[in-house]
Amino acid sequence: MAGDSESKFSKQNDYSRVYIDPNAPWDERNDALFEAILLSNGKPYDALEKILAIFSGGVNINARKEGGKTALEYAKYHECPLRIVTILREAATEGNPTPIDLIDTTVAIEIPPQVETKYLDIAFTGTAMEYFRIWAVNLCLTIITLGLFSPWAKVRKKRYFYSHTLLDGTPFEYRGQPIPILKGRIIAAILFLIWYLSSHLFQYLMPYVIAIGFFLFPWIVIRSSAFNSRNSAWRNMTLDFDGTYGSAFNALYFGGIVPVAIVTGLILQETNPQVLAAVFGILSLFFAMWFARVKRYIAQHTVFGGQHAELSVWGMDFFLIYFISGFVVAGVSIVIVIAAMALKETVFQGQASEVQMFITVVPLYLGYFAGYAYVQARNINLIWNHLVIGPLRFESIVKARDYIKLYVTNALAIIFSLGLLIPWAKIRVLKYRAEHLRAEIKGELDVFQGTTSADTHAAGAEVSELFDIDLSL
Amino acid sequence: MIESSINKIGEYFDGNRPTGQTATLQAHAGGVVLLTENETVSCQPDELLVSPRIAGAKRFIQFPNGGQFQCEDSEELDQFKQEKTEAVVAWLESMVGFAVLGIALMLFILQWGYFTGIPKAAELIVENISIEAEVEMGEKTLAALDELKIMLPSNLAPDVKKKVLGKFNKLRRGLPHEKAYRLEFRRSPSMGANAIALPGGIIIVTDGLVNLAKNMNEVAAVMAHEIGHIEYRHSLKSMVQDSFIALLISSVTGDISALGIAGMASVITGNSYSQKLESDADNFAFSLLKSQDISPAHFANIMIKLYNTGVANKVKVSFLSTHPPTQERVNNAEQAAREWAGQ
Repeated sequence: MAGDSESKFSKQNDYSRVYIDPNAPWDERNDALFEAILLSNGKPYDALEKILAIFSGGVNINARKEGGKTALEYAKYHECPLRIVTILREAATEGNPTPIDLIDTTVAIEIPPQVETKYLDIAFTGTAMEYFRIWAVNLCLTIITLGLFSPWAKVRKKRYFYSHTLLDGTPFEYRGQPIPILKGRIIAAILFLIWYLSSHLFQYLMPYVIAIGFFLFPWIVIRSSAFNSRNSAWRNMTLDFDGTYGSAFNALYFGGIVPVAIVTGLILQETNPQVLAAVFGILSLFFAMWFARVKRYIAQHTVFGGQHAELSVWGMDFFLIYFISGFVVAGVSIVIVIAAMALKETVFQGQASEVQMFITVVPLYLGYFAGYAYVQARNINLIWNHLVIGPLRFESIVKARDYIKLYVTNALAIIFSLGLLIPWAKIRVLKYRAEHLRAEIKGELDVFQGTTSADTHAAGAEVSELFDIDLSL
Repeated sequence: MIESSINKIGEYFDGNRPTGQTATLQAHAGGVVLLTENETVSCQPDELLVSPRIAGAKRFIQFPNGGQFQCEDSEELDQFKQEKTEAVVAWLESMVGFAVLGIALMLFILQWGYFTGIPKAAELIVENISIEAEVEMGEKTLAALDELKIMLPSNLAPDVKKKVLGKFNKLRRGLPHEKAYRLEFRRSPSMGANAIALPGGIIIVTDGLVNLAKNMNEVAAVMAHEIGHIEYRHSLKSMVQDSFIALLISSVTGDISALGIAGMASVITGNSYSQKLESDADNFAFSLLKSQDISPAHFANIMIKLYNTGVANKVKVSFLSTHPPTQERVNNAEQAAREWAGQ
């Protein structure tokens, strides 16, 4: 299996194949473009650089190669990053082919010297049978103890997943302790109860609850990020999180809350459906920008061995992912509803029936799974491929259509096994993700300098009261 | 304490660099020595902290100097200090039999909790919350129904309204929540012939229902059913029950919560609770009608009419519906009518 994933990656990353010679024949330049497109799944920025270089030399963008596909079709087929697809689309519509006399032979495109890059394998070694036992014991004890065991269950589960995730052959280690998690969960349960009662029974309390929640939210974000970071270790070095309340408040609210408030105000005033739809579109764009901002914030303050992480994702990236999945789900739904209506007229002669309900509801659910899996796959690639920690980068080549297959078959397996295959489904997803992810390092791991872990233990004790909410990347 | 001497080969990470060294760990009752190519670390056995066993994964052994030794799992490592609670859990996890037994036990507990535990718990909670707490919720719902034009002002003649109100007052007389009740007349083109019980004691009767009914006793039959919902505090009860169910489902499907399976499951379980509440309200209505010398047959009659106008439940697969099948409700009403006539 390891060899299999190795070949999957190396095929995409052989840089030397993208050779751009300004004097090369037209056809070779086109070949270079297709190679760069294939590369872009793993290294979007490097590929982008190459593609622009090829463009500036001139290329026949609409030439059909590789199974009769144009460069644009080829990029779509390989589910390349949206930015690459957009650039190709623009090039394809801007008038083509590029006149050959525009090729400036003086623009010799340098091929960067091959930097010593090492690949660190990521592997997941958990098995469905092992996890099934852990899952069954956890579930059983949690229910018998009316939820009191759940922090222990969480720790066992995390320990299992962490210690079976290997980076460069070394497992991760989860250092979280059940008692702090229990305390955090009790606080969270009390807060939830307050919110629940004020939203259902004592509505006059709602404004106060919202106000308190507004100021509490940044605190929850930094506490849970710190907890997750400081309890995740690799090679006896923990991650750290150095975000402060002020910076979290700023990242969560400013630049996001003001436009959202204005747009929300407009929605409440407006009744015209077209205007409403437009405003809603703007609002979801704002939401995507906010989402990206929060992700960037959490990454920027996550530290490993003195090196801060950097995540270069933007609102538009998320917006396009959600937008496209929205279209997929809406399209599937419309087709199904039309088909169901046709069936109602013909087969069922206008009579409503349960069979008809089933044939409508089941495909709708499958459509929902497909949309959800698409978003997951795209988000995973987007985040991992744009995450840098010092000399460490990642490459994720998850394919949306694999992920959709995985999720739909998982859903069916879980339903028909009445939930017994939940552990199997979970392990399958983690295995797939690990097989399609690897780390690469330019230079040596020694740039990561740890403080001795006596310090990290003190830091671990310091976060004893916190919220156990998963906000990990 | 260390009884037999331990000799393990693994990797040592000093905590300063993410690069490891091959190391040998030797331990006996007198002390622990860790040897790497260029380092020797020694300490007492009880100064070490060993991570709990988790399936077959590697174990992490923390040294007092901040370094960590990682090695394959083996029984002999259990002699070191580690967390007691997790050792028991790890032992349970090691047995397939327990997993199977656990699943069986869990299915039993879930079934008991679902059919008995949760409804009982909800009842206990509801008994301890006064009906006044629901009033605000009911008023808000009514205001929202009016504002959204789902409910329009009634067109019924004043003398008809007076007759219905008279029946209503007679029905509620002497009930535990007698003071909480309020009857509202509305016309609703979207809901047609219908009656609704809102939290806190508001009952809405639509013009459609009054017009559909052949006589006042049929209107009384429907109102008695709605009074049942309020006497039993069904709106609050179902809120509490749904919350419990949501908690239960999310603990079972925690790993896959986002898959939407949880949503599907809660709709189906919620429907079965709702059906139970409906038939409880039906039974309450039968005895209330009987106590007022009205035959439950009127309930059967109005249900059949509602069914024919398309308001009553036409879905035949019971778990997809919030209400029990109409035929069943009619049969129950006729059964109650025969019992009443026989007395």
